[in-house]
Amino acid sequence: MHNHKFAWASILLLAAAALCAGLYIKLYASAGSDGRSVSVVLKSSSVRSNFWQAVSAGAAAAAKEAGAAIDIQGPLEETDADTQVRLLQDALATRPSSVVVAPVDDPRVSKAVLAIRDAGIRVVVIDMPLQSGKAPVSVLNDHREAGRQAGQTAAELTGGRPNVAIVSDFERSRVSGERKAGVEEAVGAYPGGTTQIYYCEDSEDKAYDIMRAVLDMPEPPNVVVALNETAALGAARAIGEAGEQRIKLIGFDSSIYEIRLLEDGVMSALIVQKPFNMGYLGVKAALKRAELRGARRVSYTDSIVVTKSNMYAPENQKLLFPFDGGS
Amino acid sequence: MLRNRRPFVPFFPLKSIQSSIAVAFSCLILLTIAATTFFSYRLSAGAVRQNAEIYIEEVIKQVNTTIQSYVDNMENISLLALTNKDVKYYISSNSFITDEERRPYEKRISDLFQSILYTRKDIASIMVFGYNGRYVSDRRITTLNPNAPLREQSWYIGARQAGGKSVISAPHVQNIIKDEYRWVVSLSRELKNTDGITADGIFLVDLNLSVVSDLLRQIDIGKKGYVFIVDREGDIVYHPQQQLIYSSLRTERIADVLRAPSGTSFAVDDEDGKRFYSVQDTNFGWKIVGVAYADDLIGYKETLRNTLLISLIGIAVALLLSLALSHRLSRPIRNLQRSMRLLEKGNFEVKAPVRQMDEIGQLSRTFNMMVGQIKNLMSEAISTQENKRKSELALLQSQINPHFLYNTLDSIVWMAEQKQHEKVVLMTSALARLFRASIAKDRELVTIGVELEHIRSYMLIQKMRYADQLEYRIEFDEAILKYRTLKILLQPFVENAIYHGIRHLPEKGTIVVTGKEQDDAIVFEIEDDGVGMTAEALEKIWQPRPVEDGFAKGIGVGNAHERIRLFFGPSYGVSIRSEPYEGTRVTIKIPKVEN
Repeated sequence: MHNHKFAWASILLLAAAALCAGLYIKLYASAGSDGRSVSVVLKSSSVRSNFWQAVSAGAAAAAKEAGAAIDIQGPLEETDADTQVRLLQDALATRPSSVVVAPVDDPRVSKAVLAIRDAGIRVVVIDMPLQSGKAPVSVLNDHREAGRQAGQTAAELTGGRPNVAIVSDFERSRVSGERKAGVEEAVGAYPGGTTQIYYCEDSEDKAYDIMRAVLDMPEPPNVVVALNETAALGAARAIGEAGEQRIKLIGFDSSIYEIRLLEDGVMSALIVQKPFNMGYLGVKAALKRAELRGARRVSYTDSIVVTKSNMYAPENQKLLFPFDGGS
Repeated sequence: MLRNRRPFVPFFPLKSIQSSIAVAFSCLILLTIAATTFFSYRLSAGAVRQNAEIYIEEVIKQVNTTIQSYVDNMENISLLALTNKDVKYYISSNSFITDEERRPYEKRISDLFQSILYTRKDIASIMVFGYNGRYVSDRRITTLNPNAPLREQSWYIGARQAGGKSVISAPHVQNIIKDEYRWVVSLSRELKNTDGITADGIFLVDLNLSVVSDLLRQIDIGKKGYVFIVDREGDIVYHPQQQLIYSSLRTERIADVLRAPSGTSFAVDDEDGKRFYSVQDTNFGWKIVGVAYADDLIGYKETLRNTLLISLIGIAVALLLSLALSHRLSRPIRNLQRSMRLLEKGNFEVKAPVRQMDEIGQLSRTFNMMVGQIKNLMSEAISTQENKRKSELALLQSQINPHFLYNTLDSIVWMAEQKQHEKVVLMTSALARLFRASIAKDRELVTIGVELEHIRSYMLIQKMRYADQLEYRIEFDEAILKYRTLKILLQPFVENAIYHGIRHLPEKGTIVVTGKEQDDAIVFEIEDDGVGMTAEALEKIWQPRPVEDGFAKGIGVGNAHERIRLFFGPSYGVSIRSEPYEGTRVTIKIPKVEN
């Protein structure tokens, strides 16, 4: 009889305690930072790289919005796989709730990223997919689409008759490969649209030489698409010196030099990515607890075509002229 | 059609009143505390919200003042330029300054601008553009960007349209100077001629945007809170996530902000969480908006935690209290219940404790009274029953067997015929004595002397009838004669001994009747050396005799035993020992009852 009563009493008390504890924990958990943390390992943390600074700002914005702690790291050089592997290992050691990585094109980096994933940490790959291994959730720059945009712009600039010289850096570069494929795809859609590929091996002088040679051709192409900044600067120099205004130049990314070329009219259009959005979406994806069933595991950030006429539009200024005040 | 109504089943099928009370109390308390907590939370949350709003409002006011001071400063610089004679002359359309005289003017103006710039780190550049094509900046040599036509710049157009009033631009990239791309906020103003009507040029002051953005970034309104600025038209001037808004990855409540008057705030609760918007207007058309997240505000959390903690303790205490109370309240009921259970088991001596005269006390008292009543009724019933039985048995015992009477009278007749007068007299007087004892109905108890007389008379009669078959002895202690005994106690046993023990003997049998003291009791023994009984027969004689022709066939050992026990209690009675062909001994034990 007595045992019965005390059982009742203790059940009631326990229930009340459990209820309160539950509420308390829920309150504690929902307020504050959740205790979530994101480690972001970029390709480059150089302050001179506007692109990566914007990615970093976007990542920080997403973390702030979610109230999560964030740590952003990256090697100084975009090709420094060793440092990136070390940074990834450091990130794994601190055991954050998720890791966002913009991988350097190197199998060792892929291995380090997969090791983090295997340790049960949520991994989001941004910018470019891993060189090898099954991609986790990724937020990528759609370089092929950017290439298509460049090809489309080339066609528009030439009244639908694009004869395009593509100046790339290396044949093995995946970014350039994607962009080239995109350009070829868009140009190929036009009757009489042709493309010719040149490799400047990331040397401005070589790009200049290539461009001189191209301009000296009896039937020079009417559009040059330079797949990266070095190629664009070399080509622009050659075109500027030749005073050739008929030939249009389309470039990728944005640097102060390219902007000046755009303002000068030597550069007809720039295909500009949205690094801030990439960083933001990457971290946002990383802070998600899990993928919805059937949700896409890969998403892309878009690019825009900036010309001289719209370069000072409010929405484009922020992309072209990175401002250290956040975005 | 009527459905069988089920018996009422309580919501909580609880076994005891205590648990019912405990549950009821607990529910009540939980409900009360929940309600109190809810309301106090609502109240304190309201207070916290109000505090938060006031705090944000203060912060935004501060921001407003600071930005206003920057703009005022730019305004002052523009006034300085406006009133500066050098500037006036230099850009005057009807200028008397020749191209040769230009240089010193340019130098003086540039020096002026430079000295302003030295004192103000927030200013990026100061320039004057005359409609006459001349321009001066804070630099020694100013090269304009050939690709940025002056007349197409929005600040230039704006100032011309405003006609002498200053115009504040949204943050933009200033590209008017060659190779310079700086994020600035521009103040531009048309400069009037000395006549005050015709315009001579445009004055431009650029404020470093980093000054504003640093200011906005340093503002602390929680981890997630932020500040943004919109202009009169609702276009975003500054937002920490401007790119996301341009890319439609994020939306901002600009319509709500535009509707909100200056110095007010409003709350928004959507999928991004509950937050407060605090709006302040600047006097140059910007609206500065602070956004704070509810769950970010320290006070908010603290309030919640405290409210919950207090209610937690409250609930714990209340539950314990309710248990103790229910225990206390149900205790008298349980006591009463315990007494009732004892009564159920047949204990009429129970007494429920009456502690206080509340309902339960009264109930206990009534219970006690009831138990007493029952007890009385029970004993009454028992004694009535006993008395009835006693008189029944007494009646039974005092009856004289008609066969005996007939036989005795027959014997007397026979003796009279034989002219044995003395024997006739003896037997007739013995019979008369026997009758006297039987008909003395007034008293149940007689002295052992009377009983002795009775048994003697009886034996005498029987002896006279069975002279050659029966021998007897009667030995009573003198001391016991004064005590009392039930009347006609021994005669049935003697009768039994004669008819069942002795009569069937081929030779003479002897009956010995003794009476003596034994400790506190008196013991009679009727012993015969008759045929005796087997164990089964002995068993049989204890059973009550069936009644035939209104007369019991003999009194029966069981009846005699019962009569003694009814009268004297269970420690007295009859015991029989018997051996076949040996004899039977009947022992009767009664207490010493004095006169």
